[in-house]
Amino acid sequence: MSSVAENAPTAKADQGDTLLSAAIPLLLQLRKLAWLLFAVSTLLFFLLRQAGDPALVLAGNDATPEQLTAIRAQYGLDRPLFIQYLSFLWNAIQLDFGKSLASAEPALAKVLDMLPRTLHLAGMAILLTASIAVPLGSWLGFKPENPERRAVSSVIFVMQGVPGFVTALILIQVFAVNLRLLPSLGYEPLDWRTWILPTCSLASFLVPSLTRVVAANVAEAMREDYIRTARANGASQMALLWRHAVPNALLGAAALIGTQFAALLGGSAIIETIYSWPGMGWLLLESIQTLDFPVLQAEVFVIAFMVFSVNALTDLVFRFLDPRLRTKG
Amino acid sequence: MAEAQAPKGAAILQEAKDALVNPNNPVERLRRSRLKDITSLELIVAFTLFTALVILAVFGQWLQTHDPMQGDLMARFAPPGEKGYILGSDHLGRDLWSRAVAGLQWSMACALTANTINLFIGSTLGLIAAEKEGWARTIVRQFTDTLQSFPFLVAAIIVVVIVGHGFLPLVLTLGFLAWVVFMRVVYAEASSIFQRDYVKAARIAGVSRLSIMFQHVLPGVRASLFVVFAFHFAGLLIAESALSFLGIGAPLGVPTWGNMLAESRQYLLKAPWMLMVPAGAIVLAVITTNLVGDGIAGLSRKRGRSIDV
Amino acid sequence: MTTGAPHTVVRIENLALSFVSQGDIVDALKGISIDIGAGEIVGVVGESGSGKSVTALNILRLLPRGKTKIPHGSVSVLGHDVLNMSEKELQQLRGGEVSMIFQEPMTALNPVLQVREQMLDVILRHRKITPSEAEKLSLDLLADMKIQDPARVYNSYPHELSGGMRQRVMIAMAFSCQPKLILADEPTTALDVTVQAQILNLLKERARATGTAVLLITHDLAVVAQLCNRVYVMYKGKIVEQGPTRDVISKPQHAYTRALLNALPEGKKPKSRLETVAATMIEGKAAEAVSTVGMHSVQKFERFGRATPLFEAVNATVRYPKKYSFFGRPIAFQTAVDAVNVTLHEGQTLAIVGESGCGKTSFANSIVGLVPLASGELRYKGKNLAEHDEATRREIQIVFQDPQSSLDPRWPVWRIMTEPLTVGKSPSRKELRDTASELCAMVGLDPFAIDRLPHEFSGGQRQRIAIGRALSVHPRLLLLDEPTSALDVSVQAQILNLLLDLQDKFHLSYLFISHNVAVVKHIADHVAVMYMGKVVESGEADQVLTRPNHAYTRTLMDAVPTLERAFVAA
Repeated sequence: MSSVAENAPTAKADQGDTLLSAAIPLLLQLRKLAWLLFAVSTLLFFLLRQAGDPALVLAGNDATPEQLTAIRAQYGLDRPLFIQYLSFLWNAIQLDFGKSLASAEPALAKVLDMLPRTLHLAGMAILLTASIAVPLGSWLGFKPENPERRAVSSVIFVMQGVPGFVTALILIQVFAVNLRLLPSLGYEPLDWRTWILPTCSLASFLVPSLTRVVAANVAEAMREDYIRTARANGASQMALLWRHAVPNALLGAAALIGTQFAALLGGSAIIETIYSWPGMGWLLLESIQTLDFPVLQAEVFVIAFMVFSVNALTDLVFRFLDPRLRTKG
Repeated sequence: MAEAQAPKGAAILQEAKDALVNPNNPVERLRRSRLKDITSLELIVAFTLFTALVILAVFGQWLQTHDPMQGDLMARFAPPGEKGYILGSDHLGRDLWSRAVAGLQWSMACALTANTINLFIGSTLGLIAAEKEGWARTIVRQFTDTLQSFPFLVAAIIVVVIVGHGFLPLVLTLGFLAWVVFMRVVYAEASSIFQRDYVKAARIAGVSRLSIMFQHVLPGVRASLFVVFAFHFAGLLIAESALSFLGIGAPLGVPTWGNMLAESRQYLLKAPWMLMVPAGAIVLAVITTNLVGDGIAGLSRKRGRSIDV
Repeated sequence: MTTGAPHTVVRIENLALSFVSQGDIVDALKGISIDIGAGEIVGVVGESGSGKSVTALNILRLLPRGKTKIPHGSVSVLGHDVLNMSEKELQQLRGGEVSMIFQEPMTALNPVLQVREQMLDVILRHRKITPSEAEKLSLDLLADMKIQDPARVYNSYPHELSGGMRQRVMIAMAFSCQPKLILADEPTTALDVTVQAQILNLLKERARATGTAVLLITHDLAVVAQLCNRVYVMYKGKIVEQGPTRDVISKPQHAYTRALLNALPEGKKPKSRLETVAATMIEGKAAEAVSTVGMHSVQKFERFGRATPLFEAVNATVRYPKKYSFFGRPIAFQTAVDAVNVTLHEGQTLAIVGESGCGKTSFANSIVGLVPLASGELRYKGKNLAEHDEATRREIQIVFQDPQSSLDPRWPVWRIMTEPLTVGKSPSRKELRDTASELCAMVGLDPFAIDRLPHEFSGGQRQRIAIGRALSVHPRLLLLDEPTSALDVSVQAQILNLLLDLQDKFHLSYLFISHNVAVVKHIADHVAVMYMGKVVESGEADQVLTRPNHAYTRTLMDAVPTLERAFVAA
């Protein structure tokens, strides 16, 4: 079919506005983002109203009915639900999610406060993961049938079965409780010793899956025709692996790295809780347990936004790395 | 090259006959049967472990040595093997072995139900999206994209807290949030089957859309569904115990692995076995289901090679 | 080390090779001997499974060592005993003194590296020159390949180039280190005929100019005839015949070579039965003649009569959306079929000839309703096809090109063949199985094989199953979309024979879509030549194919390699 595109007379209509057509992918992405934020916020708004009466949370459990009515009037909770929803949306568009019920800080600021620490943890974990998984996976995928590589594959298979929070507990048991080498919890911005265990716990969960994907991709690339061509042209084993197979394999793995990073932005909640790492996941659990509506709304908004941006960014990097996507646009 | 002609004539004749009309030889058919493929060591190990887990889950009541809920305050923190506690006892003097078995029952039931819900939602949506271009595909794909672009754990935490504690809320939450993987796989595979010439031939012959779906497409994705079901089962086991560990899945006090892990945190120094027993249980269960998934995947790859290529 | 005479580039002696996998041993080569002299162009011809590619790959030891065994024999390349060389020594040889060209230009180049990088890699590995000299050399090599704009190609990624262009790059790379020998493994099989002609000429020209020996592996005797001084004919791991090309083709000694030549439709009387390899091997006895079991079905194939054409396309146009607006509406279209007019009478064969991308498959898809017509009309029995009822529309059936994808791998043959019969009705299992047996007999398959799965059949047999399925609903018109292009020559002959027999017996009409001019010449009454979505020329087959009027048809005819022309040229 490729020669259809080259030869066949093309319709006249596609001579149109090139600027517009260049902007369309970006516009489509923005449309997706807007839809995502809208859907998530709306869903959460109605779910939270099902969960509990905000007035009750605000006033406390032992509030008198009069106090409740007063609070409802004050926060506009006596209006019809749909009107409340519209006003919530209107405020949300202006990035105003209200004030935290627990600490009276602006909700969004509270969440954004946590963001750098989560990014810090997720970034370290991804860096560690990639720097282990890429070489290891390439080594495994190059000759997957070798006995020693098969043994390593089995170990990785077993590691894949250990959930991150179980690893976290075991690491604490061994390194903090028994050996007393590292602190078991807490976050000190400048003390790298507090970073080690959380990072390793997250990485222990990510390394096996990334390694397996890299290994599978390398093994697949090694069966491709262009490898045979390179071999027929006298390329050495190292050149076959690093110059030909790995770059092709990493194109597939890059997407997974992006997804993993995105998932860590909210999904490290358990690890953050175990290590008392004051990040977004930790805040999420704090606020969900106290039903701190505004913070939850802001939190979910930020997570959705960040995850989307990371994925879009990965996509962009991906397009840049893969010449086939680069020119087709 | 004369030598090739005379003595080889008979052999070539036989080969030519074979190539033209294969005799329906029963020995040959047996040799090609699937039995040969099933004998892989990995798969035997996987299914032995899996059967053991299933037996434990089903007959757990009779295999427990103690009441998992009832503690003996005189026998707190008994190390494994002492005072009649096979795997030791916890801070309330409850038997860890019996609690681990009870946790297995809970986890298996939870993962199995949620997985089944996932399977139905995911494959139905996947088939709908793959079948035909149009608004249905657009909506399903948009919906799936949206769900997927939000971290699963965050969504699960929020929904579980809002819906409430207990088995049913937990199962429904997992069931209605975690089906994306099924949709993706079914969509991808079904789309490729819809492109095959035999589906085109059926369409040209006037075979109905529903019939094509159930006779060609669904059997075609079945093997992958088994594989995803197994791997996803492991994922759900982890998700379930993670939520319980955070104290928002299973009700407090119910013997589940997540709860046991949460309880163990205060006694890491005093009774490390309180951590090791549930941790070991989770790891064993997850690895077993992963092994089964891997085995099925290998099997269908092998069979796929003899069928499709 | 065995040393050959100085003028010998390759000497293979009594080489046997087996593949070993999981206890199974498959003998691929059973004692072959091949000699190639300096500057010689030698062909190895054979069908799939003959071991011809294995022979070529083994010269550079490119087969996986763990999975192959060499019980006996030797391979000497330029005096090196390659069977006993280390991997390091082999790397010196590969791409240096001996280089290779592969079949699939689409996948043989690394997609993430530019042509520049891939060429420089090879040159700098084997030649002691500076990068800038290598750069200049690469551009010269590309210019030698008659590439209009070498600099653009040089800086391109593979996906930006057409198949023919990529193959030129491959050839340029193969010549880049002044090799003594080039192994060309089906270098033009994946290309269109017109491109094939250019590539073959280039290969020959460059080899002559540089004095490089070429080992050409191919299934196409005509290609060998055009290019090679000498030829080896391989069959099931053995060399059954060898000699100067002209002698082998004009006076074949071995039964297989004769059979192969007789199976070619080229030069045979149109619509005559072609001899098939198997039939010749069993001393003339037709092993796959159409059985008479299915004969009582004949009367079900009603005749329509000759007054009006059975099928007509009037200005048929097919468009595909090419670009979408922000709101998902298509705003630009690709015209795949552009106002095509053809006519087909009952009992006749209309062939649509064209190269890939000319729109012939889109046209076929529009007839069976897989893609809608953008404008124009398709008439069947004088009436718009869309206005016919379902039953009449089912009189048009299709047979696809790829026998792998056209049968559901999980269905037994009887279900596949009778699937069209289950539409709207539910015949009993026994009825269906009986019908399937009957259909099997009709298409020359064992009627007792109906419980088997498709993977138990060879490509030709699968194509028979597909034909049987189409016949199950007693069609009047069969669309044959390249039905033989995925098959070996000898199997192709069987299928063509079958199609001719069936047409004779059931008075079927064929719309035969093909890129293969020789096949079309053999089977068609009328021909329409398509180019870029348009029919550029149509008429009686004989007229169009022997005395073409349109420039494109002439180019096409000139490009087709034929035995005849090869000898005239030689």
